[in-house]
Amino acid sequence: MRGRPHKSVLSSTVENKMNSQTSTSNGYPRAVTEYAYDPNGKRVMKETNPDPLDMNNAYNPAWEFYFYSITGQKLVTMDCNDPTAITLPSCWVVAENTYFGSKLLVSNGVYVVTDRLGSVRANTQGEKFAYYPFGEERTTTVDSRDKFATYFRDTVGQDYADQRYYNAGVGRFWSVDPGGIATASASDPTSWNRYAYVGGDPVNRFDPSGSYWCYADGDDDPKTCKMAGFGVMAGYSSVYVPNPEGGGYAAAGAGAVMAGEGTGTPSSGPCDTTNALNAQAISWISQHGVDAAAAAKTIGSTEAFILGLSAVESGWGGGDFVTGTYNNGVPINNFFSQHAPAPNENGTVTINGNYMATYASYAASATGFDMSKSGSLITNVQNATAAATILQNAGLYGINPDGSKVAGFVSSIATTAAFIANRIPCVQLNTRVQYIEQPAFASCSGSVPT
Amino acid sequence: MALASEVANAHGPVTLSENQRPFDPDFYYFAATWPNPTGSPVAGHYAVNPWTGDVWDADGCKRLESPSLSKLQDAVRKKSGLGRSVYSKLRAKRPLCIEKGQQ
Repeated sequence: MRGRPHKSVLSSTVENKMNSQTSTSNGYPRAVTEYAYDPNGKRVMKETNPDPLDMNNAYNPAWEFYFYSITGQKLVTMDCNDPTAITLPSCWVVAENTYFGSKLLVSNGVYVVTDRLGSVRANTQGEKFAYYPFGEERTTTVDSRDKFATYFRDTVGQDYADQRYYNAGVGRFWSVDPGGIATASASDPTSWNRYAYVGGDPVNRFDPSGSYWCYADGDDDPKTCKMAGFGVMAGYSSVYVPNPEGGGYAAAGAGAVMAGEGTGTPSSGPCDTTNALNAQAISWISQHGVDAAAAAKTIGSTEAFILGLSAVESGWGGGDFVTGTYNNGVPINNFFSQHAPAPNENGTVTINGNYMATYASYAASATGFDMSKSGSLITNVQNATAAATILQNAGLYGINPDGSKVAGFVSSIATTAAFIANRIPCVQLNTRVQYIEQPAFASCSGSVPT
Repeated sequence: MALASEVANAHGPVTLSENQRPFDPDFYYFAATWPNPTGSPVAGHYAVNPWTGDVWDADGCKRLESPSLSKLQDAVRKKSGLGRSVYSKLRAKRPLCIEKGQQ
């Protein structure tokens, strides 16, 4: 069946802020979520109703209000719920935040530890959080709380970023920079993309307000970046991301310099990320290496081949089958150009005449590849050239419209896989916990998780 | 896109769609796809130098040339008004691609 009777509709205010999300089924509105903002662009209200037309006898509007300090930090979340609309609604505080300067100490009533980007990394409930460079969680946890880079994660793909919304899955904001075209600089091409997140360097920069990116190490104008309170973590290597399972991967953004365990900058070579090719490959490995390795292990392939094939097919993640969205913002995540119906898909979409599978993530896409005919054909084929040849000879990859083979397909896959293989060692396993003590906050009151 | 189209359709009609490459802001990248009912719709990727009109096979890392492409590139050059020295430097730029055998 092509398409589905269900879809989501988003609408925005004249200030380009999302003000409602409506899920429809067979043309009728189902769940509705509406948002309201104050004159400063702060989200102050959310109203939800699972059954706005009471079609399933589940009409139940609920309101959530947010209160901010004079410095613009969210302090209190209050829920109100009264379906009668005759008496005043009942309200109660559901969450409180506490800060030390700009640093979040308590989120939704739970003590947390944040890193140099303001991302929550652990809390006193024993949870640990780890993220890919652009904010996707390495292991999904419950949403509706502060998570990546000071943003409040409403749901997967929707981070409330103060003046905008951000999608960690695709690594960019939902709307253009509210500062307008004036914030684009002719000398900085990365600023020309009005949707871009921190100019492509999410390891060393963050953007608390959704309108100005700042360096995480404090070298910025405090008026715009609100840097007061953010200190450099003692002993923290800026490029390592902990893995809840005990390993970790280094995250390198564009222009970031790879560091060993705090020992400094390596000399030029495959790990030198001042070279854009290296930076691109290392970023790819950082983002998808764990999942690619798992997928490779399942079919007896190699991490490098899985990463290489997905890199070429998806244009290093920049192609429509990955960055494209459907159902108003749901990312496609089809890294292996799999046609629908396909194993492990979570939906379908038609792009340029192709009926394509959609996936929840790179991991899901890679698992789907494993489960497909392609995966079965290259089972236990560890040589990249051999594997690419098998796939092309089977007509599954590298075919032109006239049926001829794409010249150089096998070579490009093998070359890319080899290039990536030489850079996998640059992304080192790290079992250190990143949320270690910060001398700047040693005098904080209240307990800090150890 | 017109420049890339000159070479992309050599083996049948394809659709070119822009391919974001944040690590290389100097080139425009395109993915060439066609409605393949049985396999990957991707027939290749191309990179275009916006200043000189040079078109590269972004997967094979090779500059592409053809008579019709040369004509379009001449038009681009005339329109840009670039001097020979500047044009040469711009033409020497390579897209972000891995050459065969590159380690």
